[in-house]
Amino acid sequence: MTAAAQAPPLLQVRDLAVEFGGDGGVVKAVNGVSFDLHRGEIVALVGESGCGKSVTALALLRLVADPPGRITAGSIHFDGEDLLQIPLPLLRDIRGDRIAMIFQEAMNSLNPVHRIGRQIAEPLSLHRAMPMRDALAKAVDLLRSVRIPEALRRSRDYPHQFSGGMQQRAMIAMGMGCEPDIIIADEPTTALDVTIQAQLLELLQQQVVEKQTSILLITHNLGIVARYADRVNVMYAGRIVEQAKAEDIYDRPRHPYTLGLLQSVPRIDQAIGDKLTPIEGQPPDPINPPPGCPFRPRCRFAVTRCDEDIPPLRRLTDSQSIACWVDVDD
Amino acid sequence: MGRFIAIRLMHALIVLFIVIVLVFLVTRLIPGDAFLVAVAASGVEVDSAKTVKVLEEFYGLNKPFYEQFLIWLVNFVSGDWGESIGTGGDVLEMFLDRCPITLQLFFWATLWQFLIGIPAGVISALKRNSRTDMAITTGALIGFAIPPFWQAIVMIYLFAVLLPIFPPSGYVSFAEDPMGNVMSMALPSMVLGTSGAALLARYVRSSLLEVMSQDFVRTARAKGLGERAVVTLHAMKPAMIPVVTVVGLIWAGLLGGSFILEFVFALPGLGRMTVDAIYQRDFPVIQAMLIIVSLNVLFMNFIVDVLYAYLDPRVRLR
Repeated sequence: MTAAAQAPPLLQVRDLAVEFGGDGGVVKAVNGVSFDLHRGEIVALVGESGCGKSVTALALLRLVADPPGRITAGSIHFDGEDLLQIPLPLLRDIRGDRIAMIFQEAMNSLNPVHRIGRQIAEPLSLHRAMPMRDALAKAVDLLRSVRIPEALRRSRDYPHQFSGGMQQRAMIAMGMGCEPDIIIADEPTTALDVTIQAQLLELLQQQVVEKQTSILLITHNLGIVARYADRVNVMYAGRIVEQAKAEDIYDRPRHPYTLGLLQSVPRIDQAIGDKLTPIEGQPPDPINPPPGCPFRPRCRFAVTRCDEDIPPLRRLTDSQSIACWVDVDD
Repeated sequence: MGRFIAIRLMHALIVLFIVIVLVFLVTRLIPGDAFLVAVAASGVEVDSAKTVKVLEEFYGLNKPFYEQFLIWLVNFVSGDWGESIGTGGDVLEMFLDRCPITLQLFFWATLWQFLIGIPAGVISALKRNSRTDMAITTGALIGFAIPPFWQAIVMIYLFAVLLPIFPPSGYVSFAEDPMGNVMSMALPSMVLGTSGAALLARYVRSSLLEVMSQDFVRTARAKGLGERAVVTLHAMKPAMIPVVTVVGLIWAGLLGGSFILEFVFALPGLGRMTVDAIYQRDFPVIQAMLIIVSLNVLFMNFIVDVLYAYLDPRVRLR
């Protein structure tokens, strides 16, 4: 980790902003998000649904549907180039080859009319100029590596013949095919049962260990974050509100929202009879956000300043930053 | 897939039998008497009641109903479709003579439909809400709304009278003059195919738009495929699944359309023959044609089912 932290980050996202425009008004789904991803680390993007984490993931490869979405500001530096500025054909060479995406809901993300093997082979034949026959053989190996039984026979199945867990594993195999530098995993295990979740995440972790792949893990599950992520970005209402190492987040959360999140999740070391404390209220209306800090209406620690100024991300320690005027640790 | 086709064929055969029984019943319910028409038309002064009786006996129409049906069915299957009451000709021969003309019309109309309808729909979907899209959508609406006989008249006026490119009417056989054959087919085929092309354009547009917003299209983009590959390799096949249903309906409707257009363009095809037969209460011809019409619908349905299975593995393996 220390060595990785010294080297320049593999992916550097700065001030990313994505808007969704409609007749009802403009929604700033992502509003000035910045974070780094180093080689061989797993970085999590956490937050409740609607906080903008999936949109951030899509924006990294300019996959936000346009219309209605638009990337309005920011830069995404990868390997010396800004992914937001390079022409689309060059970006296509990166998509699926050096940066791969694993989507949530594999059922809908796999093409229903093509065989699984062919779908996994496609990036290989596209980026590696592999003949289809070789690519299909490699696809079978990939299916085997994500522990699909009878991989050869199964590679000729269609997605609807796979169970949910197998579909998601096929998705992961598709993402790993070209041995990408970065895998963006958008809720890769949501809607799967816990044993399969663990299997899949270990598969991804194995990639990090063996191939020095970097993973951006998008999830709302704090248990997964604690177990697999090296560093964490907590998102709220389109902004990153806390950045820290995974262990620090759990030991010493500094942002009121992070604290609230942790207190609303049951812990194994909790005394029996202790009640969970949910965060009161709802996320702000994205079309008409309140002035000042977006978390202000739900915050127990708010001070007068929170009503007027949006707190910028400020550094507390070398590895921990929060976007808050107060520090709940004080 | 083989099993699927076999089951569908069985279904088609059962439906065909039901249709044949119904056709036989219905033709006997049409008011009017062919012999009276024939006797009156001959102009000979005879005792019509007596003559009709003789004729009925000659044609076996005095036999019980089910017997008539069985005799007719056995004959029909063995290729004896009977004699036309109107012309006295062999019905199967009459059918085989005229069939190629109608089939040619079908072929060209279908080709025209696909060549115009599908690309128009695709372009319209990929450039949605653009001027091109508006032009195509409006054009499709007009093409669908104007009845074929009117289109035919306008086309004849434009492309046979004002700009004499095509002959206004008449048929030239392919063996006689290949080029003349194609030219004589051009106007009627275009008119016959226009409403289908319009329908196709609209269905392809909405279906492709729907598919383009699916998650798996995003997956295809995330793999690094270019937009053209995303559309052709990933979106087109699923988008064609609902379109196939419409293609089946259009095909089934072509025969009806050709009946009108063969009249307008003076083509001696099946449509003309059928309309003439109806005027003359020519039962053998009407029966044969009703069966051909339903056979056409059944056959197209069968093709549509097979296409479905080809396009959608979820149908095939159920």
